[in-house]
Amino acid sequence: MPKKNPITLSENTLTIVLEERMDISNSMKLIEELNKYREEEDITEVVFDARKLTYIASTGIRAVIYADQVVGNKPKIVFIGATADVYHVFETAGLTQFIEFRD
Amino acid sequence: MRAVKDFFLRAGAYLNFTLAFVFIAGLVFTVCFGVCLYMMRQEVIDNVEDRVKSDAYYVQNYVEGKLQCVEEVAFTALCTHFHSSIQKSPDGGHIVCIDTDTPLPSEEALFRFLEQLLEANPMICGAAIGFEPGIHEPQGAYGFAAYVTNVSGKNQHLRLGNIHDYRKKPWYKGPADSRKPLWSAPFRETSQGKVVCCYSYPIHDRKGNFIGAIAFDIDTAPIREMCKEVTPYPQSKVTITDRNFNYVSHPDTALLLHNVEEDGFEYDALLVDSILFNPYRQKRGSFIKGQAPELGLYFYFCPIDRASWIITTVCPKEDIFGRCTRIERTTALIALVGILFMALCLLYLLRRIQHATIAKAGIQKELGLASSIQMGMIPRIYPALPTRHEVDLCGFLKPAKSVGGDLYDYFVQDDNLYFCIGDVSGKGVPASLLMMVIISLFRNVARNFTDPQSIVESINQSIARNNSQMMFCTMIVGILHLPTGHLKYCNAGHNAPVLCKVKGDDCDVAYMPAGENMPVGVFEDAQFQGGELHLHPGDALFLYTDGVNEAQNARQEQFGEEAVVEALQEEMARQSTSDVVVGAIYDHLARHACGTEQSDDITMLHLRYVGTPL
Repeated sequence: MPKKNPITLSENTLTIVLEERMDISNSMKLIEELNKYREEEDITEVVFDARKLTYIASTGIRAVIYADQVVGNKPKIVFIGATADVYHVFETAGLTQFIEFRD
Repeated sequence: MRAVKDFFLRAGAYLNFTLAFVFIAGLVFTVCFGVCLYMMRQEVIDNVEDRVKSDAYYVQNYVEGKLQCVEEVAFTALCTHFHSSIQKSPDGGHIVCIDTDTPLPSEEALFRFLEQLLEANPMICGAAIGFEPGIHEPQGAYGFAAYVTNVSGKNQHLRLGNIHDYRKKPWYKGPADSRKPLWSAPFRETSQGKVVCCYSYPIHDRKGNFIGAIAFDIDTAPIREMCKEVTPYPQSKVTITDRNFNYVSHPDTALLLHNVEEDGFEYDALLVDSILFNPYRQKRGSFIKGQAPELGLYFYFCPIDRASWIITTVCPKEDIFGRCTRIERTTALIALVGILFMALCLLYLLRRIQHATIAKAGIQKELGLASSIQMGMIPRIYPALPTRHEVDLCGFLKPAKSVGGDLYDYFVQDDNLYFCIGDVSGKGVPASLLMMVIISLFRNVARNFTDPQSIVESINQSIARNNSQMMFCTMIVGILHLPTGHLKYCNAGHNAPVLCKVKGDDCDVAYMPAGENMPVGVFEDAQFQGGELHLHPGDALFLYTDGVNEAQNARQEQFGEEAVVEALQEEMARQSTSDVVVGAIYDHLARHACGTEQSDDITMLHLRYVGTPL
């Protein structure tokens, strides 16, 4: 059963709590959920709570890019608590330049 | 599974299956229903028998009680009203003996005596006492016999000795002949037309000689009322017959004193009689049940020993099984409707499954075709470049599904080997579509450029434009100048390739720097940085997608980048050719996965620079 990534919108920040894995089983669902915030122009920051995340597949990266490109109006993408492995994936993909990583 | 799939693909198979289901379900239901029916009917029959037996014993007790009461009245009356004594009879019983030396009560006294008996015992409707001629004076033409009967509440006195020869009548002749008390066969008394039966008791003198008899008529009407009360079912009837099967009690009074044959029954009278009145049977122990299938009737017989009568309960089959039959019909109807409904549902479901199976088979066929087309676009021959000996190149691609999103490609133009490897985000059909687009773009775009970053930028712009689904592809594009070994490359967010450099007899195997480029398709205006290096003869470059280093086993352990390097070191030490290297890495992956289903596309491209022959 696909896991669900809870999404909450508070003021101008959209927070997504990620599960242990972010792969095809839950990333497509997350993309569908993100679509609902396409018209939310006030969203200035999308925060991925990645403290539980241990594995991210290319579809997971696609969901992050989707958040950047589609949600609100070019929001800031923030990752909280990303492990070294997860960071390495973004580093390899050359995407660290538009993601802010926080502890 | 294949057999099941083939079954559903056969035309009309679902109909045959449904018919088979209906047949089997019907058969199973019929067997179960039959067994239940049999058991239920047995239970009902047992219950009916218990009920009928209980009611029959109730009637038996009632009638026996009444008869016993009359017998005691006769005995007590003689003992108390006459100077009498009790003596043993030759057969072991007792007889009442009157002292004839003492004057017998007068005629008036005897009539009063009989009246008192009638008043004290309501069920006695007539009482008589008669003597042998000369025993009682005065007497009539035939002797002395007094009879009192109650007609419409008034006692009527009759001097039978003046009317007829009472000594020839059963009530007198019976005990005179047998010297025993006895119950006569029922008869219709003349004054009121009642069906009565008579109890006669012999009177003896002190010497044991028969000198007269006392008799009581009892009305059978209360017994008939009792029989009506215990009738178990509306159509059933409880009757009492004498030993010759003449009715003593019957709901239809017109049949009283008539034989059962006139009521349409024909019993095996001897059999019933021999069982019910078997002298060796236990008291009240005999109860016979029987049935007449042709009449649809069940019979139950129970004896009344004192008068040798038989209580017969007749129950029509429809009375006994009426409720059962209604339940059976209702159950059968519900089951029939249920089976038909299930059959319709099954038919519908099977048709849906068949359509889905056919559709799935069609999709599988189309996916197989798509896979062939996709794999047909990937160069898969070895040696990869039969006419160029400067490089030993081998590619490998194994999608996780029918079609995948990984890609590699290469071609030679103007002494330059153009090659690429890539991984489209996601899997399956969507990824495969973008993969086909990227390969087409690479082949068309690459020929116009001499530096990899321009090729990547061009592909990126084409992909990023109108990329509403945010699909992207990590890829490495390289251009190797075959005569010199000069390599220019651009890594767009892809796994860093492994560079194997020969240093004398040793080999240095290490990952190249990853670079900071984004995957293609993310930003249309993204800029890409390239790199350059020089390959010497023997040096090799191993490019792969994340399906290699992230290959998982059952414990979700990844193969890992270190394992890739170790495997390459082994093969470099052996100076293996590119096809052997790729095969060896895949063997490592297979051993690591240990049968676990492949979760991602696996793609490898091994390039070993041989150099220009001298």
